[in-house]
Amino acid sequence: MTTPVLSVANLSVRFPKRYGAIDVLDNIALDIGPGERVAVVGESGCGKSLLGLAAADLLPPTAQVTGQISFRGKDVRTMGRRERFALRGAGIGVVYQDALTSLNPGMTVGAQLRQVCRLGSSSTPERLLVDVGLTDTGRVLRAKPHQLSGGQRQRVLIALALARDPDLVIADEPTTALDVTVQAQVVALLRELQEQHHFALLFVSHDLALVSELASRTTVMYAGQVVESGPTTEILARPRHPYTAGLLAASVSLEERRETLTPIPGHVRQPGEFVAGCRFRERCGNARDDCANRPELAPDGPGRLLACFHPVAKEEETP
Amino acid sequence: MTTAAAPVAPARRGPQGVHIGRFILRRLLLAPVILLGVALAVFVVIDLSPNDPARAALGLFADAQSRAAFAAENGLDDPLLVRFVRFLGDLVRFDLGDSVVRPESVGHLVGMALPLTVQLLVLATVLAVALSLVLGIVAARTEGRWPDRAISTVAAVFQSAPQFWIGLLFIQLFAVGLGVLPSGGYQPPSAGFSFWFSSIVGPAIVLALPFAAAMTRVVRASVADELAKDYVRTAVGAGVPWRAVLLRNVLRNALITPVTVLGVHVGALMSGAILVETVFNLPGMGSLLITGVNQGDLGVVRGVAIVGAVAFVVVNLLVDLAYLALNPRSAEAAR
Repeated sequence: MTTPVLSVANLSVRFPKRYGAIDVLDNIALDIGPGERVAVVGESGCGKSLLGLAAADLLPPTAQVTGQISFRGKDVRTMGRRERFALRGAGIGVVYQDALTSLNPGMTVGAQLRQVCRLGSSSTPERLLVDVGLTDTGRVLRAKPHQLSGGQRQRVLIALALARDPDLVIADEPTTALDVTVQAQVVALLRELQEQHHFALLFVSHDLALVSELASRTTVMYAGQVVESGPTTEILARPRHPYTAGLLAASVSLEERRETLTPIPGHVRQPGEFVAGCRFRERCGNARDDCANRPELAPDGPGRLLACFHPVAKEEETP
Repeated sequence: MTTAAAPVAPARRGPQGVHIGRFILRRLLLAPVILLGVALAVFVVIDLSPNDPARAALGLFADAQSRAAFAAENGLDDPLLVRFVRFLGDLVRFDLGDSVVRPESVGHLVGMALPLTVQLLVLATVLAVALSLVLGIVAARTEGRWPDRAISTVAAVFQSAPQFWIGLLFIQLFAVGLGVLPSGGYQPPSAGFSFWFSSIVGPAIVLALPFAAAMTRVVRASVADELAKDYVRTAVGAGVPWRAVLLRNVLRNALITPVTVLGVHVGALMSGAILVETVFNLPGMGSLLITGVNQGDLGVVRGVAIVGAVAFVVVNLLVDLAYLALNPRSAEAAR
């Protein structure tokens, strides 16, 4: 097998000042091959965005990181300053969640693109804008972010992420702040750009419908832990972890015309209130006493990993 | 080439240009109105003062008859409104009237004193801005660590210390103790740069210190706020070097608040100049005002007050325009 572009192993992140000795990200493992599209899904507060930032080496200095984050086989955390700096933008590009705050309100789009392109790019600000579907380049380049629509801003952000021809693009919920129609356009755009430029894509989202369109493999996270991972079609068709099944039951699908949605009871706890053992057990219908121990992530069928003592039965399809 | 065509948002550039033009026009039209109000206030307040110009001109022991004659001669008996209109008329012709004590006209006295005060204020502002930018940025970058704490503590001390006291300590240290600067007096630039500079740098530093202290705290808070924003992460994540992130991306946004504070502090700086000129014995506007008050020379007091008020209004207009340049959206908000 070729070296993965990004390989995360035993990754734990703590914020000692805010949450003390609690692992906000706990023992995460994730591989992304060259040109592969991988999704990370979970509810808000599951640590998906944090994982994205950790992978991009952009965590705030208050974060305490243990484990390995390897980029093209080299551990990012043992790299020298120069090498680590070269990774930013050129190795890994990030599309952030909130395009309005992620763009500088005081600079024109042109100035923001130029200062990144100047660092080394195969493209120009104009070409990048055309690539992301903004054809009125003159106007967009002169505009400040607040003069653009939400969809346009998100496209600019994608252009910024792609400006330096990265091998890996991390898209951190790039569609949350957008209208549903624009969401679909942005996802289509990401997919198209990925097919053109062959970068690896880590797509962080809570939206299973978007994930199914985009990612070949999916990792499901709950409360800072990986609960299940495998090929996207498999996971969506036959979820094994009760949390994944719950997410599926709670999501809307027009085609299926289901009468009622089944929400997962409760909510994700703050990291300070994570329970020991399986962190999902207090919301889980299958939970037993042994769930007070931490279930290890173990192989479960071809290409699949699962961390659960009492998974959903294999035969049982989701309702 | 992409299947997903961009949604076309209406062009919003045009209306914003209109906002900015309208904003500037309104400020420019408003300035004369403010000045008229200021002139009226200055005139009325000084008119209400118990000082009698006749007594100031003719001496303490002048009799009532000669005082009345003096008043009639100078139109002091006319109704307030008539005198105000006359004062305005003179003002428009840049005539500030006569000093009743000294042989020179008020315009001439102000013309002599103003350059010194302007030099003092400009130098103090430059020093304060430079100092507060450097210290504020250093403090923001080391937030919570010792350089930040040291800078914040020193800033708090200087912000709360009375200016005359700082002035006296300064003279004690640099003039009396070290003997590197003169203890007072003014040398015009024609006397040579080093003489001029050493005569004015001390007062300028004393004037700048409390101002710099206040500004440092504002710059620190503002830069720290700005550094925590998402777009900084975007720039850093794209590989933009730190120096460029700070200077080209952050500073422009971070300066919006300090520029506003600068405008507010100009008034304090001007009244500080009165004190500092007195402490350092400099013949500027402040000294002119103090002697004017002491001698009951209402013409001089009025002249200094009017010039000071005009300068304040003009500086604030400039600050507003600088604010607008930094933050074009304020034009829309100020509609």
